[in-house]
Amino acid sequence: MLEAKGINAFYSRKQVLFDTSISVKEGEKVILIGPNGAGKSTLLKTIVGLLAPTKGQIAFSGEDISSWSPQRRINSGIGYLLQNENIVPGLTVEENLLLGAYPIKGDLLKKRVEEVFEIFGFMKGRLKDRAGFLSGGERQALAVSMVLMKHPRLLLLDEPTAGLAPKAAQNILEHVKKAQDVIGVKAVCLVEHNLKLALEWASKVIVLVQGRVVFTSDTPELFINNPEELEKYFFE
Amino acid sequence: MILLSQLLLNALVNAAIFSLLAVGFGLIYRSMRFFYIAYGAVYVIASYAVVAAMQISGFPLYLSIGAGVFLGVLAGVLMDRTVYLPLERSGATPGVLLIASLGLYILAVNAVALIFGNEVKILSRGIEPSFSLGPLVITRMQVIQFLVGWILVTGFWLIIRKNTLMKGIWAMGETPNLVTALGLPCGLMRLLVFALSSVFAGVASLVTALDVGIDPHVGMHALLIGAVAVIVGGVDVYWGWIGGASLLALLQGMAVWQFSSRWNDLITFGILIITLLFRPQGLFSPRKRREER
Ligand SMILES: Nc1ncnc2c1ncn2[C@@H]1O[C@H](COP(=O)(O)OP(=O)(O)OP(=O)(O)O)[C@@H](O)[C@H]1O
Ligand SMILES: [Mg+2]
Repeated sequence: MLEAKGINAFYSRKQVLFDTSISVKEGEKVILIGPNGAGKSTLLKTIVGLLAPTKGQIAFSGEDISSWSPQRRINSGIGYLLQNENIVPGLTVEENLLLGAYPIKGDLLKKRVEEVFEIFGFMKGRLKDRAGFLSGGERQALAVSMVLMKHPRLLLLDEPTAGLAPKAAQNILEHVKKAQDVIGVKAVCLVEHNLKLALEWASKVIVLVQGRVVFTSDTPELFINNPEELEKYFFE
Repeated sequence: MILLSQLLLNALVNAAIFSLLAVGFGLIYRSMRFFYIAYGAVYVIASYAVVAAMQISGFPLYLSIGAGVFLGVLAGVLMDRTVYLPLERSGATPGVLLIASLGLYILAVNAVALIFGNEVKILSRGIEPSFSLGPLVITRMQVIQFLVGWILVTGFWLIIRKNTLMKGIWAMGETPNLVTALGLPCGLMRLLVFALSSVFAGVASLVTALDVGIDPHVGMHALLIGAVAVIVGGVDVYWGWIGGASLLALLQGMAVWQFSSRWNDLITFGILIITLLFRPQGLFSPRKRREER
């Protein structure tokens, strides 16, 4: 479904990704892990077009999207959650949702908002609140909802559980599962630091260290009780 | 008392024009986060386009006004496409954009002065009819300024409140990456910001020039009024910009009454400095979470 091949990416002169390749197939739930600064966020950014790679191809649903604008990539079915600044604090919860849905209008828009209530019930009563006043967990829920509004087929989530208490983090992952049923998301790629939690959820794990994929496994469940086995790659 | 009422009436008219200037400037300052000095150039170009259309090509007034606003918009959009956008793409800092903006302003003003001369050009001749409201007097041009200004400013607010793309433009200044990441049409939004900003500058320029004429150097005053109104009122609140503009109009009116209009720029800067010292987020900013500041 998603195929990024041989990506090199730079921030001005500093190279962050080195010939990096990942693929996400339909039905897969991938966790992308690695130490801070490994380039996980950068990899997602290049996939949606926020950062132009200097080398490599990106294909989505069999089409080469390397030269597409971020707008075109998102509208073709890739939903992307940024690690930071993933809501607009100065707008209301409702306005944030509408931004996520643009250019959907009318009845369809109403239906999409209802779906969000189905997934995150609390949001119904908070529509008119300023998004900046939400708690950390509520913010992440709103951010994920905004990404779901356009019914993406592929979800790229950059640390949706960052800064959340374990219970709330688990909750978000539960809700991602629920979103897959309600909305029909075909595949998910998640960046996550809470290994245990993510390993229970995932069907595939990719370890990125210093901009290179150092390990991939289709049996994440093997590591649930000994995530150190994966973490040992972090410090090599 | 009558004098004071007359002053207030005049201030209300000026506030309408200042509000137009503030909205035009604020749109770009808020969504692009850069100090748009070339705004003054758009202001000047719009009115001189009317001068050219009327006095050189002999267009009738209403057509000339259309041409003025259109050329103002064209100038604003072209400046973005040829200078700001390429500079931003190549990773220019806000400082570089500021200098480029200043360069554009100087270039435009000198070109206008070269073609049309430095003296004031009068757009409408003859004596303005005026009306009396009890003991107060208002000219026809003032009525037009008042109506055009307040209708545009309120109408635009109604649009911003309802339109999702406008919300997106509003969000650009706060979370630019998010706006891109959500797949919003960033190119279109940018075009809209520059075009709309130019409409406000152009209309403010025209309703002023039709009243008192235009010279090539008034753009800087217009820029200052717009910028100070926005910063004093609070960058993040639309009605704050209008509040800032109205406050400026009122205080300038008082200054004219007590001293002379030469004090106007001093008043403008005085308010700016006092606000920056005591309430840098602006007089009308709402409360925010501490970490957002
Ligand atoms: N906008 C930027 N400009 C310059 N350097 C950057 C920028 N963003 C990230 N970097 C650098 O690129 C490297 C990779 O960053 P990235 O954000 O992709 O890491 P990450 O794996 O997502 O880390 P984390 O787990 O902390 O989120 C880091 O060394 C970081 O300092
Ligand atoms: Mg990251």
